[in-house]
Amino acid sequence: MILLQMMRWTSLLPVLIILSSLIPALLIFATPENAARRRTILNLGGIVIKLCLVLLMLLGVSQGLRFRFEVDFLPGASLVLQGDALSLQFVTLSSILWLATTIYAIGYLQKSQLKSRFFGYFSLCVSATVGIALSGNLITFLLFFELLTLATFPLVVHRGTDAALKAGRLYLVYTLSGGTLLLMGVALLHSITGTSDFVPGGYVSGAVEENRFALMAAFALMIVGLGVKAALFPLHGWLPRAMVAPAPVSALLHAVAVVKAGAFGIIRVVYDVFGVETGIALGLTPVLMLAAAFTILYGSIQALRQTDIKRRLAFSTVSQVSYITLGVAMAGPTAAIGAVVHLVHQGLMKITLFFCAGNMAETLGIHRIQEMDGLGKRMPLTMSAFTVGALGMIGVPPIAGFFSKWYLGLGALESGNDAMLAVLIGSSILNAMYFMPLIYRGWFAQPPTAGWPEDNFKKSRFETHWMMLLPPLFTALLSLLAGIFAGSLASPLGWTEFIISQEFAL
Amino acid sequence: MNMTMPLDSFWPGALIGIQGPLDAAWLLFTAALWLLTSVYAAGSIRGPVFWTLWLVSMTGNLLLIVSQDALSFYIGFSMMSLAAYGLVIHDRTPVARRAGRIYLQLAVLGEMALLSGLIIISYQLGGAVQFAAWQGSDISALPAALVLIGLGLKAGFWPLHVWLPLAHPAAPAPASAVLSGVMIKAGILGLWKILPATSLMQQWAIPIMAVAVFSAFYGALMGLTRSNVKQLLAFSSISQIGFLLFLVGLSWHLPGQRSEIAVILMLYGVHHGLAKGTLFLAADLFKHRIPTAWLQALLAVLLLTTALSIAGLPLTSGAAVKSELKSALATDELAIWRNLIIAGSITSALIMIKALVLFRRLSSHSNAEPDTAPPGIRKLSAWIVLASCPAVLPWLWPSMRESILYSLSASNLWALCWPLGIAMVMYALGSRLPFEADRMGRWLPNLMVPMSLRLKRTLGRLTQKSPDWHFDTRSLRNMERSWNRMWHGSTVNLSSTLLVIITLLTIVLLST
Repeated sequence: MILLQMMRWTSLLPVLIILSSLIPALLIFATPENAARRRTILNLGGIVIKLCLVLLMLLGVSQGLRFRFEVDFLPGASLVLQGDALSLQFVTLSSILWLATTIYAIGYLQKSQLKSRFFGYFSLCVSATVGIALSGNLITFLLFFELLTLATFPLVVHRGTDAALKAGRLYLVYTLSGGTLLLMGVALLHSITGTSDFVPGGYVSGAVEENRFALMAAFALMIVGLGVKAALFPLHGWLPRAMVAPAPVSALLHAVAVVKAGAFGIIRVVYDVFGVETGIALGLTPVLMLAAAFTILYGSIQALRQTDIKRRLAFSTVSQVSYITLGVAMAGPTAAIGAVVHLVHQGLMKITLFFCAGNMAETLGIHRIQEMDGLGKRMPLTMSAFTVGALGMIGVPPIAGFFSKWYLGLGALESGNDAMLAVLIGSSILNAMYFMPLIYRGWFAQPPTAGWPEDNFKKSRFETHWMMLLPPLFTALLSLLAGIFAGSLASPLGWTEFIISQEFAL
Repeated sequence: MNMTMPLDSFWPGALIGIQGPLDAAWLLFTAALWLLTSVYAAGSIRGPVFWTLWLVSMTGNLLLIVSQDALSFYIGFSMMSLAAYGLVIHDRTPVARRAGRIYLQLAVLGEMALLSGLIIISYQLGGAVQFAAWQGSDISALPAALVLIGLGLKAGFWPLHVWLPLAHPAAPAPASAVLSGVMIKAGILGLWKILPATSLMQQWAIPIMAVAVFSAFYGALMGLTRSNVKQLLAFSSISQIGFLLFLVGLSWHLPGQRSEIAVILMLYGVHHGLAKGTLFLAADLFKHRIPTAWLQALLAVLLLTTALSIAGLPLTSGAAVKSELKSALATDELAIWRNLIIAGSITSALIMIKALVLFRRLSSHSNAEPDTAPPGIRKLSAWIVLASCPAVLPWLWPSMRESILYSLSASNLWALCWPLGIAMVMYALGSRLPFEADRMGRWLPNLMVPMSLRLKRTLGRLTQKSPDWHFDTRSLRNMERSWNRMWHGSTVNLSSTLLVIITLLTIVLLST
C-alpha cells in the first residue's frame, strides 16, 4: 500500500517537503566545522528545494487538489501528513522565514564555534515545524511537537554559558511538562473518540452527550500543553528567559517555530478537533478567551517594565501571540480570519524586530533601550526596518498588523464579545507606549557623545554585515506589502479568507 | 464631478476617487499648499528624517482626501498624524519635545478612538467599509461619539484643542503651515465624510454648533492674550476651525441643504487653509531682513490682505466665504446663529489686528539688525504666490467668483465692513487701557501639560524596577525535603494523614 502511495506525487509531496530540510540537517551534522561553503550550499539548497515544493503544493491546493500521505503507526492512529489550506499557510510562512533566518544566521555566526551543530539543529527545527504544519491528525502533531522541543533545546543553549544552560533547563522543564500534558490530553481523547484526521468542524461532536467531562478534561489538558509553547499566562515564564539564545534563534523561536507551533496547535484543536460549535457547547471557548485577553494585557504591561530590548520584545510576543488565541476563542468567522492572518503577520513583524535587535547588539553592542539614542544616524536601514516592525505591532496602517486588528475587532463585535474590542484597543495603546520610546530614541535623540559601546563591521560597505542587513529589510518589506496588498488573493489575508471559508463552510 | 476607482488588489474594500466638488477642491488646494510649503521649506530645512516624514505625512493627507472607504481614510489619517510628529519636534528643543510628546499622546488616543468608532460602524453595517454604504444608514451614539472625539482631537476645536497652541510655536514654520492649513482640516473633512445626517446627528447638531461657536470665540479671545505670533495664530486656527465645525453641524441640522453647505465648507476650507498657511510662513519670513524698500512694501501689503481676509475684508476670499455663511443663515429660525457668527467675525478681526501688530514688531526688529540674513529666492517666491491667493483666487475660481460678486452688493459690503470697523475701534481703545492682555495668558494653564508629564514619569518609573518573577527551583527542593522528613518523622504524621484521607472519602461517599 505504501508502494502504491509512492507512485502518486500528491501523497509524496508532503513527505518531500519535510525531507527537504531533514536531509540537509543530517548532512550538516556530518559536515566538518570548517567546511563553511558545503554547509551553506546544503542550507540554501534545501531551502530552494523546499520553497519550490511549497509553491507547487500551494498551486495544487488552490486548484482543489488534496495532498495526503499515510503510514501505519499506532493501532487506530496512523501517521498522516496532509496539505490543506491552513497547513500551507504555516508551511509557507516557515519556509520563507527560514530562508531569511538562515541567511541572517550565516552572517551572525561567522565568528562563532560549533556551526555544524547549530545549523544541523536549525534545519531539524524547521523540519519539525513544517511537520507540525502538515500533520494530518493529533498523533502526528504530537510527534512533531515533541521533536520540535528537542530540536530547539540545543539552539537555546548554543552559547553554552551558565545563563544559557539555565534558560535551557527552564525551557525543557516548561516544554516537556507541557508536552506530557498534551500527550495525556491526546491519549484521553483517543480513548474516547479515536483519532481521525483533522476535519473542519471537528470530529468529537458525536461523543459530547456521554463524555462531557472527559472531553472537557481532554480539551483543558491539550490547551495547557499547547499554551506552554504559545506562552499563555501563566505558562509564559520560559520565553523571556530564552532570550539568552543567539538572535537568529530568538527570531525563529518567536516568529515561526516554538511559539507559533503552540498557537497553530490551538487553532487545530479548536477548529479541526473539537470544532467551534462543540467548543461553545462545552463552554470551553469563553474560558480560553478570557485567558487570552488577560495574557494580552499582562504581556503588554510587563513589556513596559523591561529595559532590555530583547526582553521587551519577548513580552511583546507573549501579548501578540495571544491575539491568535483570542481570535480563535471568540469562535466566529471574522475573528478567525483575524487570528489566522495574525499568525503570519505577527511572524513577519516580530522576526524583523528580532533581526534588528540582533544587528544592534552585534554591530554596536546595544542591548538596553537607553543605548538606542541616535541609532538612526549610524544604522538607518536597520532602524527603518525596526520602525516598520514596531509600528506594525502597534497596528499602524498600512503595515500588516493593522489588518489583523481590524478583523479581530470586527470579529469581537460579531461574536458578541464587545469587551474584547476594548482589550484590543487598550493593548494597542499599551503597544504604542512601549514601542514608541524606542522609535523616538532611534530617530530623534542625539547619539551618545562617548561613542557606541562597540563598533564592529566598520569596514563593511553597509552599516553592518550585508547578510544581517538584508533579512530584516526583506521581512519588513514583506510586512508592508502584506498590508498594502491585503485585498489580493495572494496576500496572507486573501489566503486566510480562503481557509476560513472552508473551516466555517461559508 | 464624480470619479472613483476601486483598488481591488490593495486593502479590502479600497475605493479612491472624488465625490462632489468638496473633495476635488480640497484635494487641489491641499496639494497646492503642500507644494508651495515644500518650496518654502527647502529654503531652510535640512535632514533626511524631516523630509521623509514630510512626504509620508503628505501622502497620508492626500490619501485621506481621495478615500471613499473607511480603511483608506484611516490609513491616510494615521500616516499623516503620526508622521507629523517628526515635523513638530524637528528643532529638538525642550519646548519642541514637550509639544511633540503631547501631540503624539493625543494623536494615538485620537486614532484609537477613531479606529474603534470605525470598527463599530462597520460591524453595525454588516462589515461595509465604503462611505457610500454609510451615508444612508443609522449610526448609533457610541461610535458617533468615538469618531467625533477621534477626529476632533485632530481638528482641534474646543475642548480638544490642547495640543495646538503647544505644537505650533514649537514646530518649524512650514510644518505649522501645513499642520494648521491642511492637517487639522482633515478632521473636519473626516466628520463630513463619515458621519451622515442621521436622526442622531440631527439631535446632536445644535449642541455641536454651540461648541463650534464657543470654540470660535474662545480661540479668538485666548489668542488676544498671546504675544508670540505663532501661538496667536494657533489660537486663531482654533477659532476658525470652530466656523468649519459650525458648517458641519449646520449640515446635520439642515439635512436638506447638504449640497449647498458643502459648497460653503469647500470655499471656507480652501480660503482658511491658504490664508493660515501664508500667515504661519510669514512668521518665519519676517524674521529675515527684507533688503529693498519696494519689496518690504509688497510683502506688507500681501500680509495685510491675507490677515484681514481672515477677518472678512471686502474683495478677498474671506469676504466671499463670510457672505456665503451669513446667507446660509438667512432664515428667521437661525437668526440667533447669524448674530453669533457676526459677533464671531468681530473677534476674528480683533485677533488679526493683534497679529498684524505682532508681525510689525517682528519685522521692524529683524530689519533693524543689519546682520540678519535675507530670505532666499525660494522662500520669497513661494510666499508671494501663496499670499496673493486671498486676493486673486476669488476672481480665478468660478465657484468663488459667484460668491465674491454676491458679496459686492451694498448691504453685504456694509455687513462685512462694520464688524471690521468695530474691531479696529475696540482694539484701539483696548490697547490704551492699563490692562495687559499678554500677562493674562500666563494665568490660564493648559491642563494637558502636567497630565502628559505625569504619564511620561509613570512610564519611566515602571522600567526602573524590573521585577523578575520566576519560580525558584530551590524552593522545590525544600518542599521535597520537608515532605520526606514528614514521612520519616513519626507515626503520628502517617496516622493523621490517613485519618484526613478517610474523613474526606467518607464525606465524598456520603454526599453522593
